[in-house]
Amino acid sequence: MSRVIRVSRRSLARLPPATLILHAICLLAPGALRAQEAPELLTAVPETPALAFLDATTARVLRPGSVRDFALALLSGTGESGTAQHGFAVETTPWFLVPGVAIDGESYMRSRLAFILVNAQISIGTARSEGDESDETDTDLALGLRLTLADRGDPLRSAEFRRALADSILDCAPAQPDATPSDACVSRETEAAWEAWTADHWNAARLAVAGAWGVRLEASELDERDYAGWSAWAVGAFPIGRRGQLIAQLARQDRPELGLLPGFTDWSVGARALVGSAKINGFLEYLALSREVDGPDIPDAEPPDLEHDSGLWSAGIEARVAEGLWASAGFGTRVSELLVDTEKTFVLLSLRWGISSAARMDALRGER
Amino acid sequence: MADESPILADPTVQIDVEVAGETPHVFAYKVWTKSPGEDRWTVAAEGHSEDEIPDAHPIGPLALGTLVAWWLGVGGPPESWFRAAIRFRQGDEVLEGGERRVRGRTGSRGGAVRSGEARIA
Repeated sequence: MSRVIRVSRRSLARLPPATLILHAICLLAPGALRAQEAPELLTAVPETPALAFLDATTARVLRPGSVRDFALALLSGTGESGTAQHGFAVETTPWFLVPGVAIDGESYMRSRLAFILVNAQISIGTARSEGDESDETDTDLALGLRLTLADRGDPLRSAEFRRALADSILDCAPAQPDATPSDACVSRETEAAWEAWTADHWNAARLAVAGAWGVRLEASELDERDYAGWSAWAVGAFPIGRRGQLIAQLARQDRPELGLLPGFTDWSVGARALVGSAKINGFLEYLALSREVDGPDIPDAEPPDLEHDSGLWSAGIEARVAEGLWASAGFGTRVSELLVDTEKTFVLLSLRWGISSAARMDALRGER
Repeated sequence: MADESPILADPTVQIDVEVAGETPHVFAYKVWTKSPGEDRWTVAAEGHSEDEIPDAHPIGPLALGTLVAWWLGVGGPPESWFRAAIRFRQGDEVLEGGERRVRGRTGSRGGAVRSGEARIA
């Protein structure tokens, strides 16, 4: 999945020279050397599972903060004739929409259920169906759920962090009402405290799971649905001392045969070991992939490759260029279990979103 | 700061102000009063959600026409929705017009400020 990556001049100016050089290499490297085509080990579950299921991105994800806005967001996903619109995405956190339900900081720190509820996110997205070139275009619609089950790196679960930040924010309060605007002070103090905490807990234990389920809408009609499969992801991170981290991922995609498109079942299992700091580290990872293809049976046509297993390992260094965004450089080898292909060593130069992009309380984020 | 709808209160009875966060964000607050005829604000209460002190403060019986102003600073994840309530009570009863609901989302750096003002009537 490709993404538009924007890095501000201000954030670049604060980077150490080694990181800037690595970043420049990644941006200037010829396309053939980059690794976007290679399957990637997940270091976080998808931010918006519904879009990940659709293998789609959209410039604008609606993030309503009230029931009314949620309803309006859903309405904006349908056309005047009641058909589904392509390129629609909405994500929200269900508990925040329920009137009268409050989860304060104390509950968030003490109750696992409150923590999970606050970080639970549902998403809905649509995309033009793959391979559809008819006049009456079909639409794929997906519903996703993301749950953060544990996060030892969440600042808002630390009483120490909360108290220090609260003291700093209170110091921003004006002496008199209508005095100097205090927004900039509150934002500065919050950002500084957040960054310091995140840097100090970069390798904290985390566990998140996500799933998505989809349907194909014939001619984009909401009541003409065909089951389109499901996907599930799980990513866990565990600290290794103060300078290391182990990340493990498990993912599955299941798609039924739809029209002339074959169905398939994908599994991927992988792990990544990191040694370093919050800003630069060395890594070694292995990703095992398995695909089983199902139909369609077309007379006189070559049958699809029914099973394919492969593995991918890579190693290198990576540096943080912005919050959650990492530049990687290294090398790796794709291994075919069937030995149809000889082993291929490739150079890895890429930009990737790291686990820190799975920000705490993402589900509460507002519409951008 | 715009004068919001009035808070209906008995000027002879103690008024308490309570600040309650309804999301896991960190909240800090400050409340001022200004009696009729005065030209300076007086700090009536200040604190935050993490100081282990109950976030309900007596701000005294207030004469009719007294202005009350509040400031709420919020810290949390960038661009996240927050919600809080500021309640003015006499005894156990929330005064008519005395519940001010504050909601919004933090900015790209995780901070937000909300403020308001009302007249005791």
